[in-house]
Amino acid sequence: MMNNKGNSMFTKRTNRSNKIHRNRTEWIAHHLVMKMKICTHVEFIRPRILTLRYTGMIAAICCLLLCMACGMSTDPAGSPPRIALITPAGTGELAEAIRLGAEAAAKEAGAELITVEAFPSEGLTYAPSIPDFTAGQGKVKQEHLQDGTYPLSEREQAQVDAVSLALEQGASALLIDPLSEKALSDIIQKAQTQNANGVVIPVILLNDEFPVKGITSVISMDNVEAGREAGQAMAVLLGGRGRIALLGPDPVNPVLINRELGVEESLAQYPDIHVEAQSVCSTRDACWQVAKQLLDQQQVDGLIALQESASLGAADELNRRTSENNGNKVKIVGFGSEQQQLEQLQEGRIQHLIVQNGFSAGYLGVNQAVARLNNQQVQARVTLETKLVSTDNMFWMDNQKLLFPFVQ
Amino acid sequence: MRTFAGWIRSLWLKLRSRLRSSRVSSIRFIITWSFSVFIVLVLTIMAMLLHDKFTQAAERSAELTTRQIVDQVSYNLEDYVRSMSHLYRAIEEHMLRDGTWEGDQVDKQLDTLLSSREDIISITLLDSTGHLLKNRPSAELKPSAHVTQQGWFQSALRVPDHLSFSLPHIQNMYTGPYKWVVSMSKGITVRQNGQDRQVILLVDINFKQMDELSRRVSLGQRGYVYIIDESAGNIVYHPQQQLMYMGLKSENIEQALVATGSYEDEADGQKRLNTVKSVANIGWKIVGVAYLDEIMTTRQEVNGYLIRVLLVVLVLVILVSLFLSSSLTRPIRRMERKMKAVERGDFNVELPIEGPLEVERLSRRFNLMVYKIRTLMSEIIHEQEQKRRLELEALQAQINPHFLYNTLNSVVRMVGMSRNEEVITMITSLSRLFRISLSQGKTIITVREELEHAHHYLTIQQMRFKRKFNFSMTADEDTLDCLTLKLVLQPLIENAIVHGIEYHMDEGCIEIRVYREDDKLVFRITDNGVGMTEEQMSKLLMGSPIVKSGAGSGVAVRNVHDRIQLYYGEAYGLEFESELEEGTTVWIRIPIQSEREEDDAHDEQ
Repeated sequence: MMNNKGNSMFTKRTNRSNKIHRNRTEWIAHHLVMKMKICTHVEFIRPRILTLRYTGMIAAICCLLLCMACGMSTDPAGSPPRIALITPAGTGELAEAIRLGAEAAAKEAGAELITVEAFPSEGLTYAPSIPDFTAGQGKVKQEHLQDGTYPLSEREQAQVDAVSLALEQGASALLIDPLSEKALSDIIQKAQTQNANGVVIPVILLNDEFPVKGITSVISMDNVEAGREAGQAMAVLLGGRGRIALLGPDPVNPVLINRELGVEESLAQYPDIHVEAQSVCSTRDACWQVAKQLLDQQQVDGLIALQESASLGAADELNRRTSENNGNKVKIVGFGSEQQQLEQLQEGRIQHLIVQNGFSAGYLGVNQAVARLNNQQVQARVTLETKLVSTDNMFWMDNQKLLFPFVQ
Repeated sequence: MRTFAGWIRSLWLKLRSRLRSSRVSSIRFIITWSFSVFIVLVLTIMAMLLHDKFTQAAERSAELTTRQIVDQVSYNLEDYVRSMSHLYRAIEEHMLRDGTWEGDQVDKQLDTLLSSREDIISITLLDSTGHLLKNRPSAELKPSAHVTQQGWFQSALRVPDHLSFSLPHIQNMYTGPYKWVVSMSKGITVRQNGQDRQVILLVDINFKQMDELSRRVSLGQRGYVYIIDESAGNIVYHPQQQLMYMGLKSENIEQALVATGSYEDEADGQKRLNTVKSVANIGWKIVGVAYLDEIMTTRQEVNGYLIRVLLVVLVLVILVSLFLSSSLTRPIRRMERKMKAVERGDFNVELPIEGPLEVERLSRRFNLMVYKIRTLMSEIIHEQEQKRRLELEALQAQINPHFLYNTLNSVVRMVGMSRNEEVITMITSLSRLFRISLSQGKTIITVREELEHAHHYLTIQQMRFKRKFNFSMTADEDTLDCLTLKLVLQPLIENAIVHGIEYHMDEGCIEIRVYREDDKLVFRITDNGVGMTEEQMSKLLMGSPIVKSGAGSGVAVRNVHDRIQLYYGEAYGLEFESELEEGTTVWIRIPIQSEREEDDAHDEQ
């Protein structure tokens, strides 16, 4: 354009008119320049070539600047934050629901969710995509050793290693359901020493409460309230009178302590209901054995199973008794929503289940992580709603989505 | 429209008066700002129009895209539903063709069908009481499933011979993992053993396929589709159904139910575009939800961009117009400078004839004007000079009657004393004096003549003052033919005699000397009279050029000085030096001119 202008600037008038006649297909800019030139000739008797040249230059610069201005793009969005979900060792349906919820929230917030699984047997696997669902045996809580020293078990170590892996993957926030207090404090230590850029990596707890400092947020159901609900449901089942046994409490696990507290609190209102026994157990088989002993030894009208394995064990025992026609008048109120529990619930072995919404745990957990990463208000504790599901209402429309969160 | 024009007009008037009153109404300012304002105004209007057009187009295209995607999903679902209906019909055909469902043949065919489509979960045939007649794969019915209370069972009974699709639900009739299914059921009347019998054929298809069809859809980053049931508005599929049960999310299903096409709504403060499409044969409705800020550049973004561009343009326009206006007003400013020079009295200016046409014209006019002023001025000067000259000449021509009277008195006294020689000398001198004074009306005479004139005058005065003083005259040879104004010496000599010597006790002495000094001709008149004070000297050149009275010749010293300056210029004139009781010296300096130059000078005049 500049050259063109420059050339036409110095063409003689006769040339110009000839040029226009000779070459009508000159490109428009040239024509415009021509027109301008002719006009200037009418206007100025002696055109000031210098001025025009400057004007041309300025026009060119303007065009350049304009192009630059137009080329200015909005700030390029930074890479999305990576949020790592450390799935509990041994995935169950609850864990799967948590993952779905976390994914939904991550998609909504424009974050990236990576799931790191902790399987001590297979080492560490990074699973960016949805892994095939495998119904596990449910989480098994590691019990404390009595001698005060606390060597990390293989599974806890696996979980801590999974955290390291997640941090290596560039995770900027952690969602985790820790196996134990010791594992959690190790994880938090890692998360805080990891911050190479001086950024504290937020740790968000799912489903458990441990008195450890440095946790960003806890997403958990109110276990005391859940215990109350269970006690209340049992009281209603028994019509306000009867003998009850607690199955699967744990004097060191804060979750189970709280559930137990809630149960006792609600049953305190019913003077005709007595808690006869408390049987500690942590696996399905152990609980089955414990329940068997319990029912053999004494007359019990209701069992409140404080954890999944306990309710399954109790149901197994009742099934056994039913098949032996020993009568089945014992009511079970349990916690959890694993498939086998639901089958027992449908069959009426288990009367009530206190179900927590894993999906919302994952969803709200990621939300808190994103809020922390964006320097927004973070709730130190998010309480999840629990729901009491019974044999009658388990297939109601909204309960179906709660109990069976994913389509397979 | 009129009010708007009026408003613009009033605004313009206000602006103009403001500009007038302020100091910024220079052409430069006006050009710059009017340019900038105009261009930016035009750009803004353009931007607004474009912006509108652009956002409309963007909205349209976003809507179209969403619609296409939703239509695609709908088509896929319909296709799937259709193929499932065909499958159902095939199953029905194979199972109930002969009014019986027993036999290996039927089993084989059903198994073939089952294996061909992995999304068929189960085929169940029940009677109207919910009793199991046959199922594939064979399995126990769970009593806890309460078949007769299930929705598909009731709708099959309610509308017989109509294939109904249930909402997705958990199949709980058989042991094994719970699966989400859509139940296809139909109440069928079969003739068996000559009797009509009502049976219900249920085919459960895995919901997974539909779920994936809907899940795979992406409308922008966060957009999604959800499906509702048209009859009751139940949610069939929603990617975040869990959140809805938790109360963290809600959809405006009432609006989606009645809507056709597209509508916009707002959720969590974000605008969303909803596109609705019904799926035939199954009574479902697909709603595509797209977040507007993702699928198209928002108005805010466009606005920000346009504002940026406008700012850049504004800066550029201001720069360009500053440059333009300064280059346009440069000649005007040059003119102003020249005019200032004229103001200061320098009329020898000339504007170059260049620049824009108007400026050129102005320059021409200005030059013409200055030229006219110059000629007028010189005319005036000339006239004035003429006037002065005439005055002077009149003065020169005036011989003070006193002098004549005194001289003649002296002559008479001499005649009475029979000093004939002296009388002759005196009369001769007087007549010569007059002759040179008159000198045919010329103002310029040779030094020789001037000296002669002075000589005669001195001679007369010597006689009158009874030889009270002596005088000497010496002139360099090369000065005698030079030209000089006439009557420059005589008033000074008179001064010397009258003021310097007359009241002096001793014998006076007047010495006149003419010589060259550089390029000047100098007459030096020295006397040894009483001298003057500084004050007197300074008064000499300040007095009136015309002496009103007195015994002098009538031509004052001041007159001489003025005449010399008028004629020769400021550089020439008189200079005095005097000491009381010692005497006075006067220098008369004029330029050296020979006869020829004098003629040239006259020609110029």
